[in-house]
Amino acid sequence: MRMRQQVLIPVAVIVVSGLAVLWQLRPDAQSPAILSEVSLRQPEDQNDTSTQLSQAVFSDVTSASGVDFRYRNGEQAEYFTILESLGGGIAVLDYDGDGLLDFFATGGGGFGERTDAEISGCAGRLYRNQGDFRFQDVTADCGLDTADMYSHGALCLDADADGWPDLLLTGYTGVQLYWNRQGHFERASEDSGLTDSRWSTSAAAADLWGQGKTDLFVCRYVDWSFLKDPVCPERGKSEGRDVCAPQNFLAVPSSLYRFDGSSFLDHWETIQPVSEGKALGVVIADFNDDGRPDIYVANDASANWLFLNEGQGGFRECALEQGVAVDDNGDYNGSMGVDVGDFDDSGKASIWVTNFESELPALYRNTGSGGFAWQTQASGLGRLGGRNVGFGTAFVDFDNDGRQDLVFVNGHVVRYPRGAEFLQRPVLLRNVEIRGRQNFVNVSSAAGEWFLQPSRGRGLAKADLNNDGWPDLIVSHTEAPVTILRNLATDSVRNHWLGLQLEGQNNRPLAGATVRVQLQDGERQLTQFVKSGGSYLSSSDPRLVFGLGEADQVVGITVRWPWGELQHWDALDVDQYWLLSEGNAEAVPAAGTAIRQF
Amino acid sequence: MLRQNNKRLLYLLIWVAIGGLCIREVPPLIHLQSAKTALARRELSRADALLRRCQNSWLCGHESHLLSVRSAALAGEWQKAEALLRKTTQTGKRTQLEDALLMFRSGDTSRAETWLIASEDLLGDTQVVDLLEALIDGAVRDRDPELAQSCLGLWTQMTGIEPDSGDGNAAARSKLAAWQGDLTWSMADVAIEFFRRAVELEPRNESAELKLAILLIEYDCAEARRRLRVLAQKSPDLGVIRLQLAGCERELGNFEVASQLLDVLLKQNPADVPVLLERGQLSLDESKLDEAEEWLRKAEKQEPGNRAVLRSLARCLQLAGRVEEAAGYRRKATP
Repeated sequence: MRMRQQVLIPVAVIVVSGLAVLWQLRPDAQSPAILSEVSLRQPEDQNDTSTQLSQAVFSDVTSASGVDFRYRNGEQAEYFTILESLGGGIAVLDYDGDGLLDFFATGGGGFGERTDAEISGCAGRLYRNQGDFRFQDVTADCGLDTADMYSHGALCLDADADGWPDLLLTGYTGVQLYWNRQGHFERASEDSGLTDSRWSTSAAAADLWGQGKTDLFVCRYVDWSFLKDPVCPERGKSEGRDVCAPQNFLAVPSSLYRFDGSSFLDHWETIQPVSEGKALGVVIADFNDDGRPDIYVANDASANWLFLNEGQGGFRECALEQGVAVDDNGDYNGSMGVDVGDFDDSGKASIWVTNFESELPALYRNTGSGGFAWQTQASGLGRLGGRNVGFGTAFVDFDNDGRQDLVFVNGHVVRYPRGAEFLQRPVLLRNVEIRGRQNFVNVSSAAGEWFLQPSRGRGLAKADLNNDGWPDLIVSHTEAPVTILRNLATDSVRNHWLGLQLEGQNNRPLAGATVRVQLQDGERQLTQFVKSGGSYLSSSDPRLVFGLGEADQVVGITVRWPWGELQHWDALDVDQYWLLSEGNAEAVPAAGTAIRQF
Repeated sequence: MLRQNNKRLLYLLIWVAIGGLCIREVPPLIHLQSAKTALARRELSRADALLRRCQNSWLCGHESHLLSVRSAALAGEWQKAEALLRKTTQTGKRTQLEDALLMFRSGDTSRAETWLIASEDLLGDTQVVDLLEALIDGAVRDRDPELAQSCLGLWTQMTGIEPDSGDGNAAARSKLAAWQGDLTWSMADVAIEFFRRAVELEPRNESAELKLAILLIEYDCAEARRRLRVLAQKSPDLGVIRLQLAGCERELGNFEVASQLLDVLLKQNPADVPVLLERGQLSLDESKLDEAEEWLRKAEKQEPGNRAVLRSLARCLQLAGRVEEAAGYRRKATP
């Protein structure tokens, strides 16, 4: 009995101790939920079906259009030059005055031996619009089958103010101006003054000096040649080879040309940007509502510029103080594409910029007195993340509901990217009001099959190719076919629209004009800005289309022509284009008339 | 009879004492071992929880206290780490080592060479590895890639773990991948790949996951938010996670959620400059300029030379139309 007790007591103690130890060693209770005190209700409105599309809005009609062309960048030579990263653009113009918009696509170039002398050009293509989304290649007939420059951008302008749209091409060896002689193009001679051979990208034209002439801003990029062509390894590696980042090259000053009627003279030295820039995108419009055309420039790997026009050739670069030079962290971005629009019914010109990977696109809201406010996150654009390398872009009211939506194309610039894809999908963003704030909701997945295809998108132009009042798109891709996208929203949405074609006295340039349309209800006023340039390496339809939503009347239109004069027109019928001429009190239906460039 | 009863009672008391000792001290010893393992794989939330259970132990209370210092340092909570170290009552080699580890990890690597030379005679292999790890962390923090690389070389020699090799334990390879991420931090796309690898190798490496989430905010905020929420559940007290989560919610336009997260943090520490700055930026995004200025002024009061604060103040004042004041702040913010 005693023996049993002597054994049982220690055993009992050990068992109890063991159980106690096991109790002590039990896993932790679940940590208190940190976020329980915070409401985690997400704005599900983003997924609300009312913000999504009921059917595709853009249809790729390229294959049946007769357009079969691609921009070449020469990457097959395996030289990994930064030259091949930029891509090409689209210029929309009614070159033959038949009232249908034609377009020109730049051709790019290629390489022979590894010397500057063997950098060659590929001819671009001019396509004549035959109606119903059929196009005819008229390049050779019109005298544009030249290939003596590795080209990038194309700007449509009427430099000689003869009413026929001219064409300015940009590229590695400078710019080339082609005069439109009633449908046939003639290369401008060296007397034009456009002889600077530095690498040029985007361009824009406006009456910057207020003298009725077409002045020019030409973006210039970096100082690259085969003699200044370092070997850059693949990203994050010490071996391999890839395209060098722009940080490896010095910036080249851009050009601000004043046109005296016969030749252009560069006045760049007279304006002093706060910092140097590697300019890729430019748009000219009136940003501060003073009636003068200002210049906004998207710079790669450097702060963006805003040149406010102070009159008499005075320009003040004030992007930093106006809040449009850098992002919300105070960092400059790799900016490429740019556009201007009134996305929030404020009547003011806000700025939209597409940026490099790991950066968000920038939406700078024009606040009026205080300059611009960084609005990207506040507009729901932070949801896009930083996986896009964005290029051509446009404010486009694709469903004519009176809200400026956004479209942009993407694609990487290096061959072996690490944080983002080489080929990237385009993005369509719908402008909707969510809890009293204008938000951009990504509707790309339902916008049409083309929006699901990754590619290397570069230039993008907006154009109403069939004059139905619904904006179509033309996109240039690097080493892939140009794409024509027909707007099908008209099949599913019953919104009204008003198309306006402006004509300045003596065909003077009109970028910098502001147009306000008062809707029937007397409450809503729509504002658009006449601009030049915009997007990336491209120029779009010069006409303005106002989506009116369900409103079937407008009670008045006011145009402030560049440099100040106001002109008013009374009610106009909707769902058609009107020609508004400076100084002419009567609006004229514009159907079938030549589409003027300014 | 009486003597026999006393003897029995004595036996009983001895057994009960042994049992009591076991109940009190065995679990902390086991917890301490587990905490060391968790710290080695940078699973900080689990390490903290385990160390909390050891702190009243007679046998391992001191060691657990020192490891709490290390855990706080690994989480980047320098003030907490220093406070814990100051509370240490015992002195000696072990405390000195922890002091050095904290100093190195915080970025002060000036005495690295002295310690490395002395470590050959004074420290065991495990402690030398600890020392090297602290030095690598500190060199990365101090932006001294040269020192980081040379310490990394010594570390790989001692542990036998090579980059790009499939050998060695997953936790150590995960740490190595995370350091490679640290060293390529300025190339976010490359660093993300390293941190992803670190987390794949050791899913419990919370330090790597936090860094991955921070980098992902720029690329894919939705993924960053998912990761940060998991981390926040694991480490409810870690302010840095809440701050990043708030930044992420702001990025996604969820201003209300961001504001609530920041309010909780500000209640805990109303003078926390990064939190004040984030709060100010949030108000700026919401176009609440007066409120933004108030937050940013508070941040400026704490750190008058903080460039990020000055830049945000400039942005705020510019939007408020106070152009000259804004220009002054912009000048101050320019290096």
